[in-house]
Amino acid sequence: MNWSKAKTMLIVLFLAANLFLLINIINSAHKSDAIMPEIMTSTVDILKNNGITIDKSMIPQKNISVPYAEAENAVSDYLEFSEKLLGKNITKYAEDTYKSNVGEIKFSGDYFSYKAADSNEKSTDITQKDAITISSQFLKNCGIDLSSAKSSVQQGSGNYIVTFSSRINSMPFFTSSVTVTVQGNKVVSMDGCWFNKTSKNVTSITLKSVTGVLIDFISLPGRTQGQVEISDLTLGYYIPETNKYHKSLVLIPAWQISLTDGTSYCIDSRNPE
Amino acid sequence: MKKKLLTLLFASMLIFAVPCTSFAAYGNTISLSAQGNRSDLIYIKRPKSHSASTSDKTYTISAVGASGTKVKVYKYVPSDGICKLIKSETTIGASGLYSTVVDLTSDSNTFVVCAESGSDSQLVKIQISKVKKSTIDKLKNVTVNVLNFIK
Amino acid sequence: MNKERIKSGVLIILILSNMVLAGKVLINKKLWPSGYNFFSNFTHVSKKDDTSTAAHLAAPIKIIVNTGYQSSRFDYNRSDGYFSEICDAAGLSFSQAFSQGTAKTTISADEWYAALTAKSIYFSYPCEYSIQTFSQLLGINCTDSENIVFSNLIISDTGNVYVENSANGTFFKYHTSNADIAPIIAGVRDDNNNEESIINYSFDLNFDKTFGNEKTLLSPLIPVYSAPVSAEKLVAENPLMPSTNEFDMSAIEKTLSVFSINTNAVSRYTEADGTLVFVENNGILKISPDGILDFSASDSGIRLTQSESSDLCTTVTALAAFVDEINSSADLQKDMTITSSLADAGETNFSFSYLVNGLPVVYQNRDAVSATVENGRLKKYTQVLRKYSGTNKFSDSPTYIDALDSAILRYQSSMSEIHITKIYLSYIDNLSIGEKNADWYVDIDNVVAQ
Repeated sequence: MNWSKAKTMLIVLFLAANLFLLINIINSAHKSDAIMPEIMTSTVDILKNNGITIDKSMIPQKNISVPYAEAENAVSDYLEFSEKLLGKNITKYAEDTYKSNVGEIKFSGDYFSYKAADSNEKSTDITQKDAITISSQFLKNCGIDLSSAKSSVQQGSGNYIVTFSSRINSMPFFTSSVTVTVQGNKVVSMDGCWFNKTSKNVTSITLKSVTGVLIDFISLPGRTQGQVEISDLTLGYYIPETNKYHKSLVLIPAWQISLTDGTSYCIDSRNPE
Repeated sequence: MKKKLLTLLFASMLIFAVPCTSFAAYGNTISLSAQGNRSDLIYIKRPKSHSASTSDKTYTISAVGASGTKVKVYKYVPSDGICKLIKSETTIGASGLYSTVVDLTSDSNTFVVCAESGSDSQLVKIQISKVKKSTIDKLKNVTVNVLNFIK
Repeated sequence: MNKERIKSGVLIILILSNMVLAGKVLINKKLWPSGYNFFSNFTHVSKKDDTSTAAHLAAPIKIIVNTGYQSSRFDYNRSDGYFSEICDAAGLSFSQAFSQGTAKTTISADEWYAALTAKSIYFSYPCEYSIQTFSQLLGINCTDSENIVFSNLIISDTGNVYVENSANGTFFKYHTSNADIAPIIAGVRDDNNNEESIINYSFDLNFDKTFGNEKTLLSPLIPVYSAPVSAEKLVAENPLMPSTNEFDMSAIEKTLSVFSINTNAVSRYTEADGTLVFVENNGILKISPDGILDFSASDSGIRLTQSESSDLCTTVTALAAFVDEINSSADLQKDMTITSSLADAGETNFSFSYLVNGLPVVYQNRDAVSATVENGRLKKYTQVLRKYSGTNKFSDSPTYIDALDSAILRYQSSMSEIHITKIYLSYIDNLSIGEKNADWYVDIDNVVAQ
């Protein structure tokens, strides 16, 4: 047998086979990430038939994966957190409510609501920047990590309302935000819930297709009915129930669907397969 | 007169001395004829009739008594004519139950269970005979209720 | 020549890369045609083996071989070599008795007790069975339709089977013959030729009857040991929390899959006391730091049996297989025994205990496993997550009477009569991690107050 010729033929054969397999693998991988245009169109049509309008350009054209994230409640213990805010001489005068001469704090699941004792001081001498600085320092003293947070300020009547929104892995953490009211040089109230990121895990979570999420939105219980328009579609993390206390948790990736009427809804976007 | 007084003295000494012998705590030996002053300190559950026969090499004596009752077991040694302590003192606990295993070293074995509570005591004699196994087997073949025989 | 070598080298590289690319296609699920799973056969886990809970649902917790002498009665549990041999021989007697329409006669209590003082083997079971369920578990086609419930059986040296029907306090003898029993009794006696092993039954000592003023009554068949019993000390650990305050997440994920909880779809968080909670459409599963797993189904429950109207035998076998799977996934103590009653065909609540060295592990106010199964579906499940290892150190138990006295001391002032239903050697675990000694567990049925 002419081994040389046989080898040449085998090289050509295996080369062709390898090329075929490689193209197949790349193509399949690409297909599994990309959302086909006809699916996008069908989704928009189905939403329209259910009274929901969306601009097609708002829908991402590829399936996305997000990093795994774990977070720890900034309120590790109700009493401990209360003592940080109100000092050591506090009394518990109702279920999950603590008071001292400094003020009062009430807890409900992951949420907390603080009111300073004397909130009559009015002054407009501080600037927006000052309000942010005062509220940031106040929150840091409470053990809240603002290193990746985004802040926004609104001027109220004799005060500033500063809202801090948590961001994790460069994405919004929808449920974790705190609103602080600053009056004069003092924080007069603080409301919200906050989780600090803990995990160093680098694995990714593959999400289900955003078109699937939009279809799920149609049957979401409690959403605004009738003709609605989706104004924003943002990917981030959320906690499904904040009426329970969570000491630490694994964050759930979610698409937040915002409507033009001002309402927003978070939908769990993990791919169960 | 003097004689009458002395006789009276000795008689009263005797009257008080005899019960006193029963008040003394029993030591490592007792006489087979010793008697206690109570009959309700301990109740022998096995053997119910205070005698039994067995082909086994040991026998378990069981009893009940009030909590705090102290129990000792003696065995009669015919060659010495005296009962020697074989089970040292045990106190009956909250359950009121007592059991002990005694060795059957000869065909006829006599034990004395001694129960004491304060200055009171009760002595119970128990007779266990050893019977050959072949005898037991023969009896079994005659359909005698084995349990009734070996009590 | 050089050219040929290069060609050979290129060919080898192409063959290897072809194998790598083909392997990628086989392994990468995304690249499979839908519904195809090449590896499904390799991931199928065998559910029943010789040491499993499911295989021992009708196994006794203790066997006592009566040689006819009180000084040579020998007891065996599941950890002893003789145990399986005796159970296998007994199976033949049970099969004859319950399946072949063998005549049975009603006997007196005296004859029942006489069987225990003669040459026989006594089987003490960890729970009550109906005769039908017991037969089914052993693969015997039961032809006796009478309502007979028992937790104790005796086989005489000739193979007759004695049953105490606890449903109405009557006794039966099935006239069967089995030539395997007498050699076992003789073998046990010969193997222990010079060894004394004094075990009396409570009825032997008349502790089951009251005479006079005593307050304590023992159930007739409670074995009374004359001397303390030696048992190995154990060390307890929680395999899902191998170090303080840190859960082993990979072991937990394996356990979650047994409950059909999809780790891609579950919400996971920690409660204030450190309890790990998993919430999914199926239900809620919690694992506390002290090693208690608690599952509650949200919907109809996890399907255990194929049919909703499965009989008790099928249901409990499926549940036992489920328990075995959890024990295997989480690397927990594998030996278990059922402890809840199997007398009622409509039973829905089941419990199991761990066995170590053949002795049960007892917890205060809870079972190792407790489960609720309705219509073939698991609705609720709780388990103490534990694994026990031997230390090669041994300790003697307290004496029998001392253990009884300690247990009764708690009730002494309030009782006029106290009934002891069971006394058995066990490991008492107060849920702390560390060394455990064997001790007598005293089961008090009721206390009649003054």
